[in-house]
Amino acid sequence: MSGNRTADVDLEDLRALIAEELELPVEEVTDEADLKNDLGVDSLTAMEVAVQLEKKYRIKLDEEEMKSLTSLAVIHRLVAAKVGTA
Amino acid sequence: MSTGGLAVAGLGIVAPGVCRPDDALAPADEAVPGWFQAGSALPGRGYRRLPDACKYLLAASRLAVGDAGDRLSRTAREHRAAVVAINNTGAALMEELDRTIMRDGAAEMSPSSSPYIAMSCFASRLSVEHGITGFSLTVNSPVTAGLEALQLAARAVAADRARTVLVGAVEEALSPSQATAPGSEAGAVVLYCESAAGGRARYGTCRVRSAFLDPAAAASGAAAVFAPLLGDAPPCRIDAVLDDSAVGTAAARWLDQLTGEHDVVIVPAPAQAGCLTPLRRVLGLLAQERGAPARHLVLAASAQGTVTCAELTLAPHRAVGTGGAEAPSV
Repeated sequence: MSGNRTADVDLEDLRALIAEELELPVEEVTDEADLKNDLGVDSLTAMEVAVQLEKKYRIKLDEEEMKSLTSLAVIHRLVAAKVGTA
Repeated sequence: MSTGGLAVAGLGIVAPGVCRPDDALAPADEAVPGWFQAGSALPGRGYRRLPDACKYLLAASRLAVGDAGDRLSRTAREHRAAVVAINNTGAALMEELDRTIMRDGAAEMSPSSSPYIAMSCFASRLSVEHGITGFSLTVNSPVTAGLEALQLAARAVAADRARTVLVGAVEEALSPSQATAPGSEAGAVVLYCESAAGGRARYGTCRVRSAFLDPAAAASGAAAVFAPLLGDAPPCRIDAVLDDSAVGTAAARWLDQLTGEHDVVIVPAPAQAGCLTPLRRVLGLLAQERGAPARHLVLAASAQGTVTCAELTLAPHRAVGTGGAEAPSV
């Protein structure tokens, strides 16, 4: 398994998905960029991201998990864990 | 009922085949796919997932606010307001969301577009866009809602409840299964309005009156409704947005007696009670280049009996200003 791949969740695929949802260039979505403070994500956009994550990775995110989606790195860990246990 | 006057300082329109406000008097074009280019009309993030009609409204509002120069930025947020007329705006979207729910389940609904099931969301989004915290209102009367939006704005300005009001009308084409006839409206019109008392009326002023004509007694009741509504000295030109209902027919017959002294233009009412055409007419008249002041009346009536007229005092100006360029008075 490569360093960018955890439980079949490719970090770059995830970065591309989030960049698409946030209407940002991929390079602006760094691993640690804070979605709210650095990338200007509001609550509605955060929900769109969550819906797209659920669709693509066939997972379910509860309300608390949605609130915890603060950076790409955090999202990657969460999604990988969900996919790994699915 | 009559209200105080409104001064119009900025114009914005987004509609098929319309490039500038002074194109607005032309007959409405059919909304063919691709007529609206959201990327160029609304550059920036946060618009892509909005319903198309919301994009039309925001794009038209940007044009109107830009046309008014720095007026909005000089107005405190709590003194800004929005009144938006809509009738069929959300119909196609609701059908699409229904289809999503039946096919894929409610969890597949887009968080960005599903709030627009509530028709007030369009005005709310407009308020967010322009930092409007005074109030936002949504008007849903068939056909006449756009003119009634002007009337509500005038009332609010007269009461000092707001100093600037974005008055808009927006419609979206009905789906093939919803449309009972071709020609449902699509697009948006926004007028940047202020009090007519204090400021200089860049494009002109308008004063709106409304009444009710009982459809069951439209023919016999027309004179009692239209005579006071139009006043003792109606303007020489009257544009009347009418359908072939009992109310529309009674209005047309009553106006027909004015022919000779007045230039009466009958504009077919939009299919299925859309509210864009009357306000579009107001915008188009305000936008026309002219060398001397003029008076004009736009009247709209619905089959349900609402009758509203906007009396316009058109200011002399040259070409429509853009980006805040003050169109000089003559």
